[in-house]
Amino acid sequence: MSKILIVDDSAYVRRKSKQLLVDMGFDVEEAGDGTVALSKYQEWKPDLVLLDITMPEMDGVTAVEELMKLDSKAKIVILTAMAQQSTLFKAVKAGAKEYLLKPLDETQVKEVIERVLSED
Amino acid sequence: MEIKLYDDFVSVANEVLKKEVKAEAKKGRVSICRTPFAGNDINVLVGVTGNIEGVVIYGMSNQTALAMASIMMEEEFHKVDEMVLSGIAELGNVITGLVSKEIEQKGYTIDLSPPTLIVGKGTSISSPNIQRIVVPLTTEHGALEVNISLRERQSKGGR
Repeated sequence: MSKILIVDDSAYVRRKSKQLLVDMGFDVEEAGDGTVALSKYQEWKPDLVLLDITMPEMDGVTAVEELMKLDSKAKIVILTAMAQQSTLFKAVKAGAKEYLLKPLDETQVKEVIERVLSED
Repeated sequence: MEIKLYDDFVSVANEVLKKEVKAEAKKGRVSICRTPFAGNDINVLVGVTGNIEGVVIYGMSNQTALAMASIMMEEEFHKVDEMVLSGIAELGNVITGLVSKEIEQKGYTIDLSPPTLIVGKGTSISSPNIQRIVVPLTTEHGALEVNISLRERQSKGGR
């Protein structure tokens, strides 16, 4: 069973996405900010990280950079309501593999996660 | 120069409300206010920076928040708690985030702050020197008021 770490400061988003991913058969853990995400990544070693962009303390782009320093092969999918190309470009440049726009679409979530998990 | 974005907010809000709370939003009479915003029971504030700056505030009653959160989380809520507030904050975050794409396509740079919740009716919030466009939206779950106080930044300019 693949392990997915959800990182979002919104308790609502964590709850909704966790329900969705557990129903899809994934093992899911959550983190409310980038700093917790970094320690959880080291401890739990998830196969994929679903990461919000707009977060207090450490924003998503910085979190991508920090996660990539920990593990250059980290599979990170951005979860965001900020659909601007410039922000998404920064996240991809930092190492994110893909992005998902909020509100989440079940079919798209499944498709993107399975695709990224299957990449070498 | 004041920018006219309320049509983008109306269409994006409608799209998000349809998906998240399964309801159509009807737009009421749009007005322009220069007085401070007097908060509703629950207010979600999203700060905007870049060469468009200001704030967007979404206001609603407790009753509307409970009705919307109950649909969003498929669970009946009777009290406004942290989870209800988190869901309502996310609605504001998602609407503003998706509108930011439209703004970027108009040639501006824009960054958003994480949503801030202000709970309590009558809280006065003002954005000095920026007019406030008030867009009332009505849904079957209650009313949502979108207050848009945005302007093009003079010093750095847009396109």
